[in-house]
Amino acid sequence: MKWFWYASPETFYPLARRIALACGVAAAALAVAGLYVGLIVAPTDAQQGEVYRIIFIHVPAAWMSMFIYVMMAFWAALGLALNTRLSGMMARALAPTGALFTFIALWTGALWGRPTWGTYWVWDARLTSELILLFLYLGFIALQASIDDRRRSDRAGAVLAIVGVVNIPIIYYSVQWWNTLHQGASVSFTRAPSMAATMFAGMILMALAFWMYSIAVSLVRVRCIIREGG
Amino acid sequence: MNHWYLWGSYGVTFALLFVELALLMKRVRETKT
Repeated sequence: MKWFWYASPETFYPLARRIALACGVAAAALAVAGLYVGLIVAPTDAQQGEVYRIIFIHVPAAWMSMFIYVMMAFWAALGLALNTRLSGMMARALAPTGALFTFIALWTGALWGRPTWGTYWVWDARLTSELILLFLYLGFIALQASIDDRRRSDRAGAVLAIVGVVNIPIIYYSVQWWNTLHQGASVSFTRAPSMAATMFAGMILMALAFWMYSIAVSLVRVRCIIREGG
Repeated sequence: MNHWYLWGSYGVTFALLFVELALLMKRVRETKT
């Protein structure tokens, strides 16, 4: 793979179209499969009834909100270190989709919290740190938009994105570090999932669908940014 | 009642994703001209 060859916006532009198309098709197929498994195949939860099915969008959206931020900070840091134009463009292209998934995680969490906890919102560590993540995304987007000089706005945005990365482990470990109303992790690398296999399959399919969607949308957006002149 | 929470989640999620796609397609058309 010729990494430095594709670091140029001009050479990356046609490659981005091919990847975006493939990921867009994969996202649609995975979403159909995920919704089928999540809404039809997966059994009703014994305690929560049908409302637990919010998990099939809430958890994947929350994962994407954190993953996209890490990727955005990675590209921003790369741009800061190597001064490559494409890195800043990638960071800018990722931010709106990351903010959207963060909002979706908060919205679906609120609608899940009301019937199960008895409240839409509580200022516990997990919810509050996720809300801070939304503010970080919005701050990044606003900062980029407020500086006309593209090199300077990319550098300023990169500093904010890198500093904000500290919030990601806080979100992830908040349920272990503090007493929270929010439950612990549903899925872990170190132990088997604590849910039925079909529920787990539906969640993974939706996570993959959101992942493919994010790649496709971000690459289409970065092509727009390239056409706009960076 | 619980169905409102369920469909409120799915409905708003997919509506927002479609809005993002629509705005992006608009931007694609504008930058191509």
